[in-house]
Amino acid sequence: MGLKDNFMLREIAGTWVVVPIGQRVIDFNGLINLSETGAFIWSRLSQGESPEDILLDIVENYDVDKETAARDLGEFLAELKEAGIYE
Amino acid sequence: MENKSLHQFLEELQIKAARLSIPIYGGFELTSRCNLECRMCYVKGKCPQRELQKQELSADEWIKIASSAARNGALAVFLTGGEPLIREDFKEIYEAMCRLGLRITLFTNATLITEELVRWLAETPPSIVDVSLYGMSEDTYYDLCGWGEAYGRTINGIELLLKHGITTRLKTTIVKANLKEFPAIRDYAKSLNLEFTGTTLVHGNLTEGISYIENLRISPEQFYELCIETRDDYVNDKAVIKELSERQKGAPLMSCSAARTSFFVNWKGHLTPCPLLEKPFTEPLKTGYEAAWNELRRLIAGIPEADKCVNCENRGFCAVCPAKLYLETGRFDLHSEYLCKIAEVKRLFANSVCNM
Repeated sequence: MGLKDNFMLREIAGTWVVVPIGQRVIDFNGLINLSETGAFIWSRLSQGESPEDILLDIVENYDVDKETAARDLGEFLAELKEAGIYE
Repeated sequence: MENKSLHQFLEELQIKAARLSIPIYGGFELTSRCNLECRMCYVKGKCPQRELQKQELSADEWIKIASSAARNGALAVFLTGGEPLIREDFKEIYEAMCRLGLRITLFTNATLITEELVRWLAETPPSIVDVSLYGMSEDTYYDLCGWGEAYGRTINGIELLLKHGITTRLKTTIVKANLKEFPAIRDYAKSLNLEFTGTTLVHGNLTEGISYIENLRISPEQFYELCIETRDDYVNDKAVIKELSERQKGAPLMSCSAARTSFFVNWKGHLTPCPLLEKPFTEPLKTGYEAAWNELRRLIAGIPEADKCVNCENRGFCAVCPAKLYLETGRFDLHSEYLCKIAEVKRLFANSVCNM
């Protein structure tokens, strides 16, 4: 499992946005707006980290318990899958 | 996580970017050369095209400017000219800008679009291709753009873009020479179900002022007739018109996004607030982009206001801004008789719609 290629995470005016580049524009001619946590997860995914490792990263970096973080991470990954970005 | 269109995202980002003075949207005028010689063009230079080409920025220089713009917050840019596709190194520039994560809108007259080019474009499509369509006959293209065959080539270019699934919009500039064909242009856009905009505002340039467009652009009387003709397309909400009439009076003339959240780099490499304003300008290749942007912001604060326009009764109906006033009158703070007349016509038209 991993992020599809040809997406770029950018920070514009303090807002996190994922921009399709190259051929990805053909099936995704829009932008994805991410929260700060979303951007954190995205950047870890793009480095090839597993969801298990990312969960540990989240608990370490944010004031959140493991159970809540696992639920939020699961929901986020499900959204990415549904949008056809994560497979 | 939220999926958004570029337009939607840029609109939402505007307020935040304005507060932080971040240039999120801009234009790159890759060349002043063009294969058409449109009589109303504000870009066209008097020099031979070969001379103009020598003065253009190189591909490397454009990529350097685009990289700095992206680093400083640019999310989307439009590529324009002249005709941008006339550059032999257009593909190199375009591909590099795409890799920077810039969403690109391409402005073109579509006459240089071939099957080979559109296949390449379809591999990394821009957000939108904006095609200028100046008429619906060879005669009009010959008369207005100096090349009759360009009509067929433009239509062919549009069809190729659509065949390859590239998001395309049509726009036109309405002047006396193509006024009669405006309904046909509009109907063509409708038949293809394409977004379409027409403008009647033709601007001069710093070199020649308005001397070359005074007899080209439509008269206020013709503008009124056009308002009547297009009323079903553009005017269907009386409340909006009423609001328009009361809007903006007293607000600063320089109230758009220019040099606040948007920028323009002209073919000489000058950073300017917008395509119409050749000055003030700064030079990002000499000073660095960030310094050039900050200096430009300082310079626009010194642009004087035309008091007569600021408090004008017709302000809500007028497209006035310092850039247009400068091109019309040679001064930022002097009103333009032509713009005044057009605004008056708009007000009369709006009143007639509201009283129906």
